[in-house]
Amino acid sequence: MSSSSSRSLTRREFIGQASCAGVGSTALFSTLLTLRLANSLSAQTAGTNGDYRALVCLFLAGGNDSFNMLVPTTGGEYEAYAKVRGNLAIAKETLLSITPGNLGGRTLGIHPSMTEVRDLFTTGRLAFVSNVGSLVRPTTLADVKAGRHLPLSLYSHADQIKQWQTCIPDQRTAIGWGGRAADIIKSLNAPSQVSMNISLSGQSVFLAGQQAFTYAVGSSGATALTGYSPTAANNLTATRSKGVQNLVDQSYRNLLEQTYADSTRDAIDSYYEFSSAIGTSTLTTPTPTGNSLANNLAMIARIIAANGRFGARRQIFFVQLGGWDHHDEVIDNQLTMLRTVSQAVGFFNAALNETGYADRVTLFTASDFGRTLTSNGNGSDHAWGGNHLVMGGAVGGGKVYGDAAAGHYPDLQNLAAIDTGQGRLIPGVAVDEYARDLLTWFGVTAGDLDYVLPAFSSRFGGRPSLGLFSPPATTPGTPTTPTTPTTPSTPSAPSTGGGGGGGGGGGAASPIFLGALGALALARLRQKRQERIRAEQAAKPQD
Amino acid sequence: MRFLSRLVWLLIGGPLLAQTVSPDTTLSADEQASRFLAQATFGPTTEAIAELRDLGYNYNAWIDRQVAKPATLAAPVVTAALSSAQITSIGNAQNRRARNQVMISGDDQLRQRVAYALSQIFVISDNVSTISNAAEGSSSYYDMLLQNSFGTYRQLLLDVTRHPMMGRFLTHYRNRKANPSTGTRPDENYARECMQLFSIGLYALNPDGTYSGFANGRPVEAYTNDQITEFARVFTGFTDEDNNPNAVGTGTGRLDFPRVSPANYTQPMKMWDAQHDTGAKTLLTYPGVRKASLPAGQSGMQDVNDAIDNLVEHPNTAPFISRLLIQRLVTSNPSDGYVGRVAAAFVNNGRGQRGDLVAVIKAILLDPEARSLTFLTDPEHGKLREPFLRVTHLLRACRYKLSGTVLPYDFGSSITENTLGQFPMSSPSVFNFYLPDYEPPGPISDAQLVGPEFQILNSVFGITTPNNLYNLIHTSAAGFSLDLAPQAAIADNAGTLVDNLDLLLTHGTLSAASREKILTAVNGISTAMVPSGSTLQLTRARMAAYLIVISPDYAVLK
Repeated sequence: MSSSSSRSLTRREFIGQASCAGVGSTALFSTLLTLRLANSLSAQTAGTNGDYRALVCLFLAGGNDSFNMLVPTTGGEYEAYAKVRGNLAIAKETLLSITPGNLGGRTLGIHPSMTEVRDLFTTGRLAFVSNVGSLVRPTTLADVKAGRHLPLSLYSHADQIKQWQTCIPDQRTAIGWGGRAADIIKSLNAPSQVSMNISLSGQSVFLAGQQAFTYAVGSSGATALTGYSPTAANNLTATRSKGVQNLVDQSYRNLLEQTYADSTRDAIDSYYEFSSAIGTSTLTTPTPTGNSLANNLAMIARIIAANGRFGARRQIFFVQLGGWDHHDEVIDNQLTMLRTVSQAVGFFNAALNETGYADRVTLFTASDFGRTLTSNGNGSDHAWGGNHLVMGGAVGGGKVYGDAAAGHYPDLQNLAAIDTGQGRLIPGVAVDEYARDLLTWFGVTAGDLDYVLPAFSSRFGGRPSLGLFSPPATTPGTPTTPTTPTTPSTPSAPSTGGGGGGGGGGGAASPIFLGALGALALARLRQKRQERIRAEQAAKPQD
Repeated sequence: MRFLSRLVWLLIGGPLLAQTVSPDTTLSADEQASRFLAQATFGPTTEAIAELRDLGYNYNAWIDRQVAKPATLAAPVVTAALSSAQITSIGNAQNRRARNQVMISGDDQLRQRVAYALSQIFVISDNVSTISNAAEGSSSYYDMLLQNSFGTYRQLLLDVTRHPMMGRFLTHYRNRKANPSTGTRPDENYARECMQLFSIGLYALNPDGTYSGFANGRPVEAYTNDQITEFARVFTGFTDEDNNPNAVGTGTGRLDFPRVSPANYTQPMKMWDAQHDTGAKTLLTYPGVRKASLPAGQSGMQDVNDAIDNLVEHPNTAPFISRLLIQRLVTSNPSDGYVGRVAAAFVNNGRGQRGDLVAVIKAILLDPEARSLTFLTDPEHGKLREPFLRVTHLLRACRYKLSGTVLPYDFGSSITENTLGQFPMSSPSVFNFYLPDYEPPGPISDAQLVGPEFQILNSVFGITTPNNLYNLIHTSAAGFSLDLAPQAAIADNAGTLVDNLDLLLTHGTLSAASREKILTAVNGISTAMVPSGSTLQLTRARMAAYLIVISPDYAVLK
């Protein structure tokens, strides 16, 4: 339990407790966000329209067996790999060999179907991050055995998916770090119906913010509401359109009705701005045939190239590729699915080269979890840490980043300290750390990290940056900010601060306080909506 | 927290409420019957409302009558089409049409609706090839749910466990005991999801579904990964029925099992004890547990039956399954009391029997929280009508017509999971189309509530779903079109027209404000606006139907 002493809380502690309060924390975030915006805006007003940046989260849903995507090949390391994987091991001679620039000569092999990824790696456009996973704090095997400081429902799909996307693995929240980043940064963009956060795969926790909403499109863009036109006059379509507007513009007492009305209204309105913006944004780079992920990435590349028409200086994208839960047939399925990923990523790089955005866009993978190193006969089961790739012109490519103490890639000959059983590895890199590097490049200042990654500074703040972006990123919009946030005031040792405090926070946060804040936030949201509707009605040409 | 949020709502939300739209609460008996049918079937029809009227609006009697009807099965629809040479093979599209047919047209509507709800709990999906390529396997699985809808939860869980399609989907088909020489161990997939999703859930629960304990501010987990590993050993040894136990394969791993060719996709999997882990196993421990462990040397099916009992009798199971069924049929945020009352019926049907699903269904549908009109104005009540149900409710309300002749219940490529965000038995994963605890950002999340179906309401499906409804109303969509002649016949009076559609689609709850907006649109249609080939009356009927189905009043079933 954290101390419930009478000393006043620092703002970071305040946030830390809010994040640990679970239910009710969302409303509290809203309030803190309002306090925060003034600071971040003043810090980021510098820069020009030429400082565009985008993050693309590629989520491999189901849990990629990523120790077959990136395999150790040095001497005894491969033997250890082959032994623990048994009939799931990939033959050494078929692996695409790489010698990362920072592994002191250790070699690795990329999955044989990922030739584009290998080429991107060797040309310095792509890096790997090894053994990443959701952590509540730096965790030892003793912690796991004692059940201390563990993510909720470790090894379960639904929870681990959420935790990768929230970076609050010991609480249940529906707000993701991409959404929180947009909460802070979206004011850099000009006002637009189209959200800064765009999903090619429907709703995600990752992109959901307190105020930032997600705009979802398909690989062919947005769809118009049939039989509707905002500009029709004196005809049946105008009558119908007015009827639709009247229905979705009303304020409904029922919260579900209100949410549906808001969502429908936003979907209808966004279409027009979106379609006109991307209409002239085209690609000549050929899309690999039969590759749905590449189709989605093609749409992302087109949106990125149209950023000026959205008035967007920052955008975050989410795209998901499912089907990775390979309890069975992992070898055969990965042959085709990793090929799909590799071709799509290779295509995306080419498309960004074509549009001139290669240096301004970073794509990174995420997944539920890694999988057991041991075989269940013909597949593998849910585990924890896994390997990931990061692609973009700004990335310090050709390297493998990871727990430096473990030589940046776990030594499979020596797993005793990190194997929780069946080859389930304790992550060497927390998702928070992975996110910190990405967000810092994206332009989130060190001071804003405690909003975007509320657990980071107290739990992992003492750890150095992974250094994913080298040379060290110089964010155009934030010229004065140190690029590698050495957390200004790491409050105390993790054991007394964040990690252990999780539970105490839950008990200490006053439910009445949180409830009142929630209602205030709710009232404010509704009021804002009314104002928006009134403003739009005033701006509308009269029929 | 729920209580507090409601309190604060009254204090701060009160002034705002004065200007908000609220459902109509003066429902006629027919309208109340329509509301009941919207929860209990694939959509009210004029005839179904009349049947309830003839029963004196005795919902209990209607349920009894439904329970007595035999199941209308899907697999025989496709196999009959095959044997009569109407089709040359059974593919996934044929299975989908067969299920559409029994769901939308079956006389056993309550059974169909419950089986559809169960298909979103005991999930398999035809988006994986081992299901979509398995002849009539997926229809057989749905039929298994139909046949268990009015049975016991225990038999349901056992039949789910043994169904070859579940065996394929969660990969316990040909799951082998550990093999020390190759280093393989049993597949944990089914064990994990069976516990997490099909029976006890992640956290220890009270009888009313609230968390029963907290440790360090977190709810106590209901099981550990080690216990999953133990259950994984239970679910070893399943393979096809009718195999030849002597015909041991020559492959490695999974393939080293006897098999039949073609594979059996419809009959329960058979236990092959040679590949069952016969060691002692630890099960879940809880007050009143009968067998917290299994001795070594039991037969495979004895192990499976004991493990199923261990899950069925766990104190979590009644509230966990009850809550999920309430969310599928009635409301996203049931009160603890409602969950508790349904769970109590699950534990004991009044005759000392556990898991009687008829008792559970009655407890859900006849509860005051489902029936009382006072809940209509509760800002937290109701559920977002699932996209598939938005379609079927419209089809049944407006007397759909079919254009095809062979397996004619065909939504084709226009009304699919790609335009609705869902289609029966085609979810992205075992986690269904949406999670039961999904909190859409905004007022629902701020009020600490959930809205599972909102997980598939976004700027894509928020447009394409209404477009499907528009096409049905104005022309046709795939094999379906609507008969709006009865509505056109009364369309000269806009009020009568809207009232008729309100009865069938919004069950008398259409708010006065929305009704007014729709009337304005209907009355705003001049003869000059009528498309060629249509009439003013039909144009008015289409306008009213479309605006109702796109309205929040229809989108949320209250």
